[in-house]
Amino acid sequence: MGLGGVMIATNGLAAFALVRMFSLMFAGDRTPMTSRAPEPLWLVVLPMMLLTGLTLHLPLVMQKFSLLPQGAGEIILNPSLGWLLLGSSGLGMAIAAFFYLFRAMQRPAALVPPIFNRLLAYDFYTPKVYQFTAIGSVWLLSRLTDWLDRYVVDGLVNLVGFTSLLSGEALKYGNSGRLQVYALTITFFVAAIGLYMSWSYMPGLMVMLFKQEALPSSL
Amino acid sequence: MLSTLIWLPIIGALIIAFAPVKLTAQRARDLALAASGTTLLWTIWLLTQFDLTTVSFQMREFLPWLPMLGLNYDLAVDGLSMMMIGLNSLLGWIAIYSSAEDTERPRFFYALILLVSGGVAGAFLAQNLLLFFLLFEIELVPLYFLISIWGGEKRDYAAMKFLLYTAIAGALILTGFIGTVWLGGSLDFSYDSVSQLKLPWAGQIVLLSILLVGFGIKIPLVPFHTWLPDTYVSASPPVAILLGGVLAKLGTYGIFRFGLGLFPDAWAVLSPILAVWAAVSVLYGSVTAIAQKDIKRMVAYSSIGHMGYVMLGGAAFTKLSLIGAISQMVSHGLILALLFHLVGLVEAKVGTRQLDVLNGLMNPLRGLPMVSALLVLSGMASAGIPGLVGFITEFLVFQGSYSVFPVQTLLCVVGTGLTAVYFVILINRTCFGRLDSQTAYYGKVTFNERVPALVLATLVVLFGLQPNWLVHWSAATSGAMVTAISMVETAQVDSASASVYP
Repeated sequence: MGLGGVMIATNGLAAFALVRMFSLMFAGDRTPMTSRAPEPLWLVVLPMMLLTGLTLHLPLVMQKFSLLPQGAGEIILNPSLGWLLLGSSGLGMAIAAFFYLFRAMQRPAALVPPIFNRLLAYDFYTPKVYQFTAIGSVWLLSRLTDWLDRYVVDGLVNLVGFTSLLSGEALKYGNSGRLQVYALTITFFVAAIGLYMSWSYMPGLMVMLFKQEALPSSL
Repeated sequence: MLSTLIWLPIIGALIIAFAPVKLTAQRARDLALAASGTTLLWTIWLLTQFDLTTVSFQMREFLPWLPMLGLNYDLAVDGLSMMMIGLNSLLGWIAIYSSAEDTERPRFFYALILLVSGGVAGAFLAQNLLLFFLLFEIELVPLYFLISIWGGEKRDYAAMKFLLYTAIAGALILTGFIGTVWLGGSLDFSYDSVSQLKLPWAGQIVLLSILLVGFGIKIPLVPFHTWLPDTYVSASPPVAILLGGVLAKLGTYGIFRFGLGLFPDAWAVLSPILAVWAAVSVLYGSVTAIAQKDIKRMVAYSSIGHMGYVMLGGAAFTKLSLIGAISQMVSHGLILALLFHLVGLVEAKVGTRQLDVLNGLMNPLRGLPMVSALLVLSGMASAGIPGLVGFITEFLVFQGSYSVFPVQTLLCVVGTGLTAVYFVILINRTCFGRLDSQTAYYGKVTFNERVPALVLATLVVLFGLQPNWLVHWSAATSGAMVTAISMVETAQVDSASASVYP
């Protein structure tokens, strides 16, 4: 039922659109371009006419050769559906003719609310919606990932490299030539490494020392 | 038989390197082409001798080298390595053919390319873990020189980065191999004996993780990938073809051969993590590619995304996904080589790789129409358009992995959509639009410059229309690998049942 309604509405709208188009083309105001438009060659017209004839007769041809899907014939022969379709076509054509052929109004588009008008004129804003959703999100994501790649992932790698180079440079310029400085540096770092390595044993060591000190007093 | 694939390029390299100084660039190129062309013909002959029904390794060659260390000259081939050998021989020849006829220091250049080709062939054939490692490391030095001497802008930085990353990868792989042998109590690094070792479960997980990171750097997978864009962009087109087309496959080959092959039960445990890792790599590479303004950099990031499909297929380890993953390695190699060659031609003729500058190259009179048409074809193949090889291999991977990892597979399918996005950006801005007639005085693309692209494009279309010619090589090997894992899983289920119901 719902689908039938959609079909009838679409049929009516298609009829409206076609009559509107033909009315504007052949019964509208003359413009400099249309007044000088030449008739098309018969080479162009003939195939168009043949194809029009074929298109009009195609349902009958298909029915004749039993090419229509099963049940389609019943739908076609259904008189109420046929009347509904004819009615929707007639209504669409009549409305279009009223506005565009007989010029009942100067600007028929003004009858429709401007928001709805613009919605139809700009194709439901589909290109803009697509631009802001699908394209925009992918573009933003790609920019973000590229930034992340350049400055975080690769940045970290470059930082490691830079730190290594800087350490090497610092070591190079730290060569003073004085033995005392070298000995002091080595001693300091050996002590620091030793402290670091034995850090986990420190609490046990302290407990042991504390117990040894505590023993004499208990005695 | 197999040794020829290693030693013929190396002998060719030595002849070119020690040839008289007056050897012209053209003659050096001819000699290199002869060596790599003979290797390619030999590979085709080996393909005719390869038994598709045999599951185990074939054409074995063994020579004791240092038995005390467990290191022997042990070569063999199966479906997986046969396909990689075919790719290596073809792209080695393509790389030499696509190099400029007036290359500077030609003897050194062609000798290094042949050394890389021979070393990589050896790595694909090695049946000894130490031998594989040695050959894996050997290719590092020639590639460092190839990038740092014949590279473009920031070549020193890129070469050093490549060297450091690959050296770290090599250290991790060596650690993994030595750990495997020592933990298993073996004295031999032979693949056959190592694959028989019974390692503790936790040890397997640790060793597989080490190998995954090591080979993950080589592939590369996110976040170990930052060497790739710099290296691919700085390398000259022939070197980029070798790097992206063949060298990256050493990583995935290593993961399948030594990760999946040696630690099947640990692989079954880690596979969900691998599938997520693959999906992240696909999306990260594809999304980052969209933001690039340099077409070579865009192609480089596309490579990160496409290698993720290989990982996804491996992680799912169904027979179909594994066949797809192995075929994807070849497909990606062909398409990436084609893209790098075409991007190199565009740069050579137009003088820029910037998307904001390039425009209207499809113009039939003053543009580069053939190059543009092939660029469109390669972009379509990379985006997985039906009828081209990229579609077949990606479809096999997705079809095989969907039942195991549906979410990760769907995320990777989104990745193919993103691939289409950045290739449409690339093609739309580069090939279409209005050609600037003030600056469009480009040099003519010669027939010799077109040959590598035509060969690769023919294969891309041919394997797309007749995919069986590509996928049937690895069917038996993939089946055997999957069976090995299924047996491990069955054994685990049985032991778990036995412990629950004594």
